[in-house]
Amino acid sequence: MHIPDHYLSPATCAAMGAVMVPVWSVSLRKVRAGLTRSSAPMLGIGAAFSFLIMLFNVPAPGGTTVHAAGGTLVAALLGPWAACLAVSVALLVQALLFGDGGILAFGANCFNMACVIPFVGYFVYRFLQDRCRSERARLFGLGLGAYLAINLAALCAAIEFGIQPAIARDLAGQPLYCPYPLALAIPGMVLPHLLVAGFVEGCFTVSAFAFIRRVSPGSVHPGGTTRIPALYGLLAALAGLCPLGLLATGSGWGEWGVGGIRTALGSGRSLASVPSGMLPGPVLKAPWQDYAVLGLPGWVGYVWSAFAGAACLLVAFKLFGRLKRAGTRA
Amino acid sequence: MPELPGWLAGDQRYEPRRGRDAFLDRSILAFLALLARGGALGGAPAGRVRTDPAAKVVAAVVVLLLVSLSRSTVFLAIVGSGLLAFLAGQDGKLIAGVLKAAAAAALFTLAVLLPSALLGRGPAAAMITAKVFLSVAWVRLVAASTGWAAMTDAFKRLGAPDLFILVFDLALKYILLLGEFALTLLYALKLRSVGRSPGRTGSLGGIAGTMFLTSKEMAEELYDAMVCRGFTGDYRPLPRRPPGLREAALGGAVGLLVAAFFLTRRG
Repeated sequence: MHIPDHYLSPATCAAMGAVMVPVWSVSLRKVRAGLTRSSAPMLGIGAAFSFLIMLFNVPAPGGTTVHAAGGTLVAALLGPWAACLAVSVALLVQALLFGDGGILAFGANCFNMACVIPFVGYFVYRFLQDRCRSERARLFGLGLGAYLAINLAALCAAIEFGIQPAIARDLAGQPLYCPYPLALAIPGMVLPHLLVAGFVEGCFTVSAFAFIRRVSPGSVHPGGTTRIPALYGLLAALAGLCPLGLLATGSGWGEWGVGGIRTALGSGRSLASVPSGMLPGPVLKAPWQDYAVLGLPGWVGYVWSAFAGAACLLVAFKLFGRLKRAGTRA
Repeated sequence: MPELPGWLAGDQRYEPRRGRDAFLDRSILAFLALLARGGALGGAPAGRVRTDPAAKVVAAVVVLLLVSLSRSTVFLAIVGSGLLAFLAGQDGKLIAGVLKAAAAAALFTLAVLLPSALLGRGPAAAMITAKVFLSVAWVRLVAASTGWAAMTDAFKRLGAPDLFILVFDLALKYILLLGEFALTLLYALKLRSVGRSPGRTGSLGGIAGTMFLTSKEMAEELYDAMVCRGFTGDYRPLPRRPPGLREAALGGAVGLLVAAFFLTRRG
């Protein structure tokens, strides 16, 4: 679901960025207002959870891969505004350091994964929580929220891809950016999510939420005991297991390189030419593109990237918490 | 009735020229910051690291050695991510302190190396700057997460001579004592200064001289007091705690770094 650069027209990227600016602004204000000494590390932990879970690629029908996003889990733990901020920063680290998701498409990626997923997942969860009596039903509600949220986010991404041929064409009438219309983009994106990613997201959200509630009840309900080291242990386990995500070959729908996009239709069909707007231009190359570290085996680089990215997010949010407290004192 | 002398009876209007106390204020603030840091050093460790201090010192020395010997950017990236992983478990204050110190050292290095970078040695300058950043950050992380008593104990266990430990121990305590003394002198100078005083730099020289004399007296008194309490010049380490999970994890991390160093030698 990480849209790379050159798949969306600059106008679409600008529009999605413009949509996200007020969302970021409100979430920053709300998070700053409610930030306490203990919630700053939790923000970092939420962002690190989201970052790590996105590394677990799962094979999907059609030869593509999908991954969970963890946005509903973070929203259930910290609230939707904090989740929006945490997932946005996780996506920023992925884009800047590991080249996962485009820099220009950052606004669009944040809209899909940091805005749609946390808010939809959270409100479905809350709606059902208020109406369910048994604990099992509440957990089911959380899983359902996560399932619906990631599918709605996939639909949004598909629409962003699918409108490109209609809004950006060259003089010859050929698409400049993503060449697949809505009729191809929607089934291509949504079906793998309906069949696989939604269930992965739901299962991960429910199991991680149940685990966190057991080892660190304070992270779920105010007043309980918060055991941050247990959460760090869970993060370290996720980072250590992330090479499992490399077992799934292929890439996500809409995440192909220039060579891959020509044959992406499958079944022997291929594009006549690569849209001119997608040809490689002056792009910022991430230092550890595709989570690979030069000179190290692929899986070692993947584990290293997982640890480094998660640690980076934890440190960033602790510094953010400190800045906020210093600002309050001043 | 005797008349007042003319110079006393005259109307006196003394309006001193406005003086600037920036130097004095800065000195006072610097000493206050030093004392605040010293206070933190003297008490419990500021950070959450509870690992054996001796293991931490050895690990820091190995990391510094590997960083200085390595010519691979991949290895430096690995050390950097290790630093981030250790920092992730600390509180925000310690993280900010470590990163601030490391960034200041790296910026200074970059400024010094700028001419070389402009003459086409950019990659080398960038690598040296990264090495300085990492080295300072690691040392600062160990120092900030270890109390000074624990550090003295670590030096003893690592076989440092008792004389070295004595000097180290006294130097740390003297930084605090002399800092307090210098602060008192600076306050006295500030209170007695009215307006612009051309001889203020001379007064600061006086402060330095007085501090030297006082430190000599205090050192003699302190040493005599230690001897009176039975100090024979020997430092005895605390009973050794068996290495636990933290020490094993630290040893494992250092082992991985050594392996990464040899794997990335050609990088």
